[in-house]
Amino acid sequence: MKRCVIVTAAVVVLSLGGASARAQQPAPSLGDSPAALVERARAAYTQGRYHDALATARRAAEAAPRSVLAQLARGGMAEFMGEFDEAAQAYAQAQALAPSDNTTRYRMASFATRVGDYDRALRELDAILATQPKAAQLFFRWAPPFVQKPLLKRSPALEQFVELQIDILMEKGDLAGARRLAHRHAIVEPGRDYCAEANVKKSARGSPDEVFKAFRLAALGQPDSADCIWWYGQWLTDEGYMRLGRLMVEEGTRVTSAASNKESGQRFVRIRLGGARPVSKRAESLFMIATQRYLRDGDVEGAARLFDESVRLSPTFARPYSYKARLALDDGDREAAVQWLRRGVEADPESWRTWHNLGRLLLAAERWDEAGRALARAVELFPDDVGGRLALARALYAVGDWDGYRTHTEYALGFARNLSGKDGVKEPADFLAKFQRWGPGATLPPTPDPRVILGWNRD
Amino acid sequence: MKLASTLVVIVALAVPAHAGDVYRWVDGDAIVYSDQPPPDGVVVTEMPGRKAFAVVTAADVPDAAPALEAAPPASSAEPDLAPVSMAPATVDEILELSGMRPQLPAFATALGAEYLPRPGQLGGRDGARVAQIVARQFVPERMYAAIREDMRRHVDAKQLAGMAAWFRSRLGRKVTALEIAASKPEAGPKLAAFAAALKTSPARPARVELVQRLEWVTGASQETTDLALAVAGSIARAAAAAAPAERRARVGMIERGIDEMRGQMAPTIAEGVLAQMLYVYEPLTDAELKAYVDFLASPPGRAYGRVAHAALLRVVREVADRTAVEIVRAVPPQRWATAQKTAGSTPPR
Repeated sequence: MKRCVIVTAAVVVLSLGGASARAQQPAPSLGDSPAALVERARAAYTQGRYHDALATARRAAEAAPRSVLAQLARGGMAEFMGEFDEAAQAYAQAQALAPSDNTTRYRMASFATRVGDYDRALRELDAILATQPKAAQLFFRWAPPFVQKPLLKRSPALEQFVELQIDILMEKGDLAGARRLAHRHAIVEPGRDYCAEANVKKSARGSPDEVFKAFRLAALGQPDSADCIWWYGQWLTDEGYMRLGRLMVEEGTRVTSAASNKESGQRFVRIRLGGARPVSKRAESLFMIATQRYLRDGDVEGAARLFDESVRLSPTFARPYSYKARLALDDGDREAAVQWLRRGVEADPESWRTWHNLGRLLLAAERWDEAGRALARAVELFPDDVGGRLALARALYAVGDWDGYRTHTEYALGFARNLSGKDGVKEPADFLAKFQRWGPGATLPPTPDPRVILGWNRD
Repeated sequence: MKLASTLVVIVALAVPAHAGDVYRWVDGDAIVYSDQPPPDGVVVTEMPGRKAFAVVTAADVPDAAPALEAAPPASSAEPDLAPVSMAPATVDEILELSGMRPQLPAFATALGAEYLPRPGQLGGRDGARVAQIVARQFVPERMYAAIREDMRRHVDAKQLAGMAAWFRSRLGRKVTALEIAASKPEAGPKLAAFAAALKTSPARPARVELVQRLEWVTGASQETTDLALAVAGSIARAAAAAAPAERRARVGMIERGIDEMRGQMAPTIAEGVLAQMLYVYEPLTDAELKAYVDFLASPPGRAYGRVAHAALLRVVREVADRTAVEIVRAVPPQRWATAQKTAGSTPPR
């Protein structure tokens, strides 16, 4: 689980009143009172019944429109489910009811970050700080790092507060400000090699969460660690964080001294992050929640609606088109799926993965020429696309272009073997060997899509 | 050739591990399954309107029986490819000489058997209904007509002449006779014994190379997988369509599941196909087998394989889908499940 996800989950749990421990116990018998409904919503959330949780939180808020707790419960669940208008309304209602309540302010700050309203988020955090005694404010702002460190250690809430501030500044694009804050609060210390520590954790196959946190610290604490910043950006991209991912990849590309890395970084931004077509934060958040609702919950209708909304907000954001195609395929409507992917490549003609997906779908439909064109475009954008090359090789084989088949297969096999050994491409290698020994056979070459390079299969 | 490999492997996959111990007969309107022989005077059932549904046990087949009586003895001499006739060929003649038509009844029976309930899975009346539907759908003559129509549409005179040259030759006839013999139920246990023996005394490398090439030019493993999945897919789709809307699996997810099955089945099927090919063509010399492979790799051989495969697969898919839909309509899935619960678990097929 990544940091932003952790924050989200924490916020939801907070909004529901720290339900996890209590959810293990039988719910108190309070009938249909607002408090009982909030309690039930908590239980439903912790049990993974998110629709029930939202429905129950709605009932609580409707039953007690002047209850801050109920409004926050509704806002938290609506936010978690990507129902952002409803969440905004509930949080606004809570804030109107309790303008000085810091929990509500914190929740609003977190929500504002999720929808890209960073200034609002920072204002809410400043407002929270302003409610503290002057001495405490001064101490928190200006005490030297060696004092800050034990302070944050003793107060997890304070640490969470600082981390959210840092996240907001990073997402806002103020990396220098985020780094200053991280140093000021001793989140990172001068002279420490965070990048090396992160690489050790990665090599030791530490938990993804641990590894992810380690690279985040490297990005904050070592501005010159191009490789680690780049790696952090790739990971964020894989997870769907288009905005922060782009900022990190661009930063890694800026600070690297190797010309080939600069070229590689620029290409990454162009073919995986939308290039000159940035994605709005709200569209990104909706997309990520939609994928969760689809993959985790099997909530096809809810996911489809959020994907549509994401497309409406950022029409050039390619990823939701691929998911819309997948939903169409689930319904058995291959033609609609093709149309969604065609719209995707029109929206972002440099989205390598969308071309790749389109090519593979056309390949499955045995539309060899069209598949060949789409896949040729995919490997033109990303020459090391092993799965795309193997698929292109199949399209060429199907129309009797033996040289083309051989060329692309050999390239793909060579690249994959160098990076990940023979296992992922054993079948295509066996097939090529038989082809070279006996000429064309009766069946078409296999087209696995091996995970040769971290994350590239996930767009 | 392809049909022969496919059929034998499908039969091998379909037969339960304990097939040698299962008997089936009709008692009133119920179909009875038992691991004990039927009482005296009771006749093992026939599929309505078709040949006997034979449950062949190893004991039924003499071990020492030659693999093929009709085939001439293997010889190391040059293969005899001299054409027996120069008359213009017809699609019917090709389908006859290639063994497609003669093998279809057994093939249809084996595929149809995939839809029949396992012992104890359904009550007698439901079991009989299912058997009737299978018999009505898996009609070899109708399947043959559809394949012949496809061949007529997609094979030209030149290709037909090339096919005829092979299938009319003595060697071509010999190969077809071997394939037909291997597709008969009594060949099953022999094949199983042969495959088991391969583990301790593997075939000669030159022979393995020839057989691998044969598999390469025919695509028999994939064809077998396609056909097996046509049956599995038809059942999954029909069962899903009959489920209540809120629990209905989506079409694309079923197809994805079937694709996953393909990956899981492929190694087993490939292994089975290779063993089966080694068994079927054992009486041929290397030169004869090579001649056969060369024919299959030639333009007419490829055309035959391609068109026959596509036609067979199309026909099987259509029949499979119709059969599954009818069965699910006649005996809803929950009745199978309920009956199974009542009867206890049954061994996997």
